[in-house]
Amino acid sequence: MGGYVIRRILVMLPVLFLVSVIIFMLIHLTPGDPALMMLGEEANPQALAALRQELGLDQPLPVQYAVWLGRVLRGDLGRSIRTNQPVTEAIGQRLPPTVELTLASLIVSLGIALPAGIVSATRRGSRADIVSTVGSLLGVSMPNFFLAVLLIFIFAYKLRWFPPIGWTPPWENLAENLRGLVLPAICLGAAAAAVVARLTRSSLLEVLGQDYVRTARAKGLRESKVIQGHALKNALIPVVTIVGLQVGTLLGGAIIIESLFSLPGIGKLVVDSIFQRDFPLVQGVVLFLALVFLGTSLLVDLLYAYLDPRIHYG
Amino acid sequence: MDSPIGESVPKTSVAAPSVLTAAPRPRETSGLRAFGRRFMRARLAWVGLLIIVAFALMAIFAPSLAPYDPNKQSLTQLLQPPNAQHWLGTDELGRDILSRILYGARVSLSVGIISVGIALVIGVVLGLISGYFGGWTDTLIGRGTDALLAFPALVLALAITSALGPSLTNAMLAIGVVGIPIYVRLTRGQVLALKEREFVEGARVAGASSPRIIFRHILPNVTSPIIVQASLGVAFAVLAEAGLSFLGLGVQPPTASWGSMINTGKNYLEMDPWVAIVPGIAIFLTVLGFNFLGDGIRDALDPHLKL
Repeated sequence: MGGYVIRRILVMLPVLFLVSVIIFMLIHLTPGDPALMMLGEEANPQALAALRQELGLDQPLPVQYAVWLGRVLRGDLGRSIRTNQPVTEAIGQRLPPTVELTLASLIVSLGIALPAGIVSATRRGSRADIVSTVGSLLGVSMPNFFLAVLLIFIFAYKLRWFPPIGWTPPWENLAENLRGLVLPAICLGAAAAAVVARLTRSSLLEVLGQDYVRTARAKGLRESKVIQGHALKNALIPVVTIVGLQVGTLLGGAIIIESLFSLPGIGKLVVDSIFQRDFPLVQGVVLFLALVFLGTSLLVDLLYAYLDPRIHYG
Repeated sequence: MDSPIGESVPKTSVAAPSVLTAAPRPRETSGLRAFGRRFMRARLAWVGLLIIVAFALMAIFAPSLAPYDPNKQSLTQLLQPPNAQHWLGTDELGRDILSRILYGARVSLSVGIISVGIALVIGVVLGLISGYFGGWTDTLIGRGTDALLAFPALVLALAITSALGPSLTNAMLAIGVVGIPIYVRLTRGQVLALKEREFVEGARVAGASSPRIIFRHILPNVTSPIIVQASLGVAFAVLAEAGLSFLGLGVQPPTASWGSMINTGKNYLEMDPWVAIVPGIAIFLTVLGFNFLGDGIRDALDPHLKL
C-alpha cells in the first residue's frame, strides 16, 4: 500500500506542474496590460509601475513563473492588491463557512441519496422506485440557484422558517448558524443527491444479480440480511468514488450558493475578487480549490483501494 | 451546479467486422434498426426531444413570436404580474418577461451548442491522436487532460472568464475548454479498443496513411458515445452559462439571458416572484430536455446499461 501511495503521488506531480502553469497564465490571458486592467484606466503611472514590479510583470515570462512558483512552494500566495492582506490569510478567514456548507450539503446529499437509491434498487418497479428515479432526473436538471430561489421564496419569505440570506458564526450562536445553513445545504446537496442516488441504485442492482447474492438467498438468509450483510458493502464501493468526485462539484456550486445566500466563504471571495480584478487573490483561491479537489481525488483513490480487496496495488 | 460531463460515459459496444478489409466498416443495418426500435420506445427521450425542439423554435422565431422588444423599458409597467398584455409579467425595468425568455433561448441554446462544438471538435481530434499514436503524444495529451480535470468544472470556467473578461463569447470559450477533457478520454478509450481490430489492420496493410485511417476508418466508429456525451454536454453548458450569467460573468446587460434574469429577479422575490421563477423554469426545462434525450440515446445504444 505504501508503494501505491507514493506512485499515486508521483503521478500527480506533472499534473500539479501543469495546474500551476494554467493558474499562472490566467493573469497573462487578460487582453492588454494586466496592471492596467487591475488598477483601471485612471491609475497613475507610478502605481502602475509599482504593481508591475510587485507582480514581476517587467520580467521575462519564464522568470516570472519561476519566481511565482518559488513563492507558492514556500506557501506565499501573494497579497491582495485591494486590501494588501496576504492571500493565505484571506483564504483562512473565509474557510469556515465553506467547510461548513460543503460538509452540510454532503450530509444532505447522502442522507437523501443512500436511502432513495437502496429503496429504489430493492423495490425495483415499485412506486418508491419510480418516485426516486424521476426525482433523480429532475434533481440533475435543476440549477442550484433556481432551487435556491424557490426555497427562499417558500421557506424564507412565505413560511418564514429560515433566514433568506446571511451567516452567523457557530461560535456566536450555533442554533442561528444551523438555521441559516439549512437552505444553502439543501440547494447545494440536491444535485449531488440525484447523482449519488442514481449510482447507488444501478450499483446495488448489479450486485444483487451476482452469484454470491444468489447463494446467500439460496442458503435461506432473510432478504434484509442479504442486502445489509452481503450486497450493500460491495455496492457502495463505486459510490465512494462518485461522492469524492462530487466534492469538486460542491466546491464549484458553493461559489454560486455563497454569493446567493451572502455566505462569507471562499466562493464569495473568488467572485468578489473577480469583480475587483484582484488577480493575485483570484489565482490564490483557484489554486487552493484545485489543490483541495486533487487532494480529495487522491484520498478517494486510496480509500477505494483500501475498501476493495480485489484491487491490487502491488 | 452539477458537472454531468464527468459522469455518464457510455459503454457502447462496437461489433467486430467479419472480414479483413481496408474499406470503412459497413454500417450494421440490423444494429441501427434495433437502435431505432429502442429509441422509439424510449418515451422520456421523445419528451426531451419535444422540449428541445420547442425551445429551438422559440429561439429561431423569437423576433416574430416576441410580443415586445426584449430590451424596451417602460416606467409605467414596472414589475407587473402576469396579465393579458404581458403573459409572463414584466421585470424591474418594465421589460416584457415573455419576450426576454424567447430571446434568452437564443443565448442559452447558442452557448450550449457552440461550446459543446468547441469541446467536441478539439476533444475528439486530441483523443483520436492520443489513442492512435500512443507514446509521448499520448502522455502529453493525457497529462494536459488530467490538469484540466484537476479543477472543479465551474471554477475553471469562472477563472477563464475572469481572465478574458465577462462576455457571451468568452463564456462560450470557457465552457468549451472545460468540456474538452471528457471528449479526449471518451475518444481515446474507443480508439485504443478499435486500433487493433482487423479492419484497421487491413487499412494499414493496404497502405492507408495515418490521417486516413484515423478519420476515415476509426472516427465513424466512435461517434455513438460522442453523440450521447454531446447531448448531456449541452445540458451542462446551458447550466454553466446560466451560472456564469447569474454571477454577472456571462452575457452582459441589457442582452436577455435566463441566468442574469434570475440574478436580478432574486432581489424582488418576496413581492414579485415571477421575475426570477419564470427564467428558472426555462433553464430547468431545457436542461431536462437534453438530459432526457442523452439518457434515451444511451439506453437505446446500450440496452444493458441502465442507470
